[in-house]
Amino acid sequence: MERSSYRASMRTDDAAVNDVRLRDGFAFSAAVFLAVRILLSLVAVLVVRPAFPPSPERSGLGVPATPGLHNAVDGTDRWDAAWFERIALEGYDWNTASAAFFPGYPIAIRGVTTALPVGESGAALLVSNAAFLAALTIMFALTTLEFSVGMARRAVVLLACFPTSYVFMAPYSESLFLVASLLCFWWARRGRWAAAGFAGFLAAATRSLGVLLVPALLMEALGTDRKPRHRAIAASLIPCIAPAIYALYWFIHSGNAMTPFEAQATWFRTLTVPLVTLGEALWLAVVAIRYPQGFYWIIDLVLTATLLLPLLLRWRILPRPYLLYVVLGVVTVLSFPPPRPLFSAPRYLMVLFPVFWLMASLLTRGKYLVAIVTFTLGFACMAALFVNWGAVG
Amino acid sequence: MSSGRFAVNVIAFVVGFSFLAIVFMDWRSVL
Repeated sequence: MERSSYRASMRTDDAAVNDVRLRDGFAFSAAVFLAVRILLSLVAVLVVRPAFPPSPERSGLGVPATPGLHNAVDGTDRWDAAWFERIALEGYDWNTASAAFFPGYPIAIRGVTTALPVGESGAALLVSNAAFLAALTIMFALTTLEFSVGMARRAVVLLACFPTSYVFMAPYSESLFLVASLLCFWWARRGRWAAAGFAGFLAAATRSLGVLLVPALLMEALGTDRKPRHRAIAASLIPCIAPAIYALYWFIHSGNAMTPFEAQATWFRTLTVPLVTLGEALWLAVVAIRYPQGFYWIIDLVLTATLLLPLLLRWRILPRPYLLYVVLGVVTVLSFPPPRPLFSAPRYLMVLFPVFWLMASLLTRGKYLVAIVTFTLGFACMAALFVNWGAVG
Repeated sequence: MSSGRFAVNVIAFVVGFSFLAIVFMDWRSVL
């Protein structure tokens, strides 16, 4: 099916698809962003209790949680945040475990600290929150382009209040990756290949999953009717350059180009068949009630299933480049599980933004409202755990 | 394991899987 007729068949309102502009959804996206930002700050101010970083926090820069109004801003400065901030401050010299954190986000933090009188923590928060606002706006525009305005509103709200979405406003790299991957598709689907390649490069420099944009871009490039096609194919390969440069950095630095990829082992992640990962997670959730840490196993599975079930049920409606990107992303995330099989999996999977289109298309009005209320409660609960150094996110 | 922790596990289990069943288990859409 050609794209134009595909879009026409999917549309549910009368907005002119070809006139979609990035700024069209800004007011709506900004309102949604503001709502979840205020919720996160409120939760952080109200629930943070004195707590020291637990022993698995290995960056050496993790700060104890202390009650107070400051948590409205820095309450999410937990776990991986300290790794990113330390890399931005000192580079990668001090610990090869840090190689698992790709350089795009720390470089952005360093850029802000150079330009503005803020520390690494403030800069990281600025980058993440600005990137999340931009990501919601582009999500709105891209969803309108592919489906409809109504779908765009639903998808943006679902993405913003998903229970682990507080991470998008924390000093983590997910929001920068999300905005870069959205821009990559936004430009590729409109035939602006050089810009798409550059956005893909930024995504691949920010998180290892970014390289999975390459097969999706290639599929889009091979299906394009615009000339010349070879430029589109060449631009599709640009994201590969980012991990190559990063590997080269480690080769020069330590003599081992594979350090960023081998670093996964220091985070206790090992190669596993994805179905085995899911099977183990399902078994843990079934027996979880009897174990003190069972709460986390249940939450891991429920949140992962919330993202995967729409894919299982509605994959047919996705344009193929998006479907390829999402499937490769899911397989990759489930192929490298830690001992707690789905620990962080919801966070890794939620950046695969097309799943929120599938979710939005799947939910009737009543179910959509149930989902929004449940997501918002889940968001508050998960954020409350996270800001108190809980092992979520 | 404390009774409080057990209760939290039970609530998470019931709420979590009820949510999945209510919101996503429309198998007609698979067909």
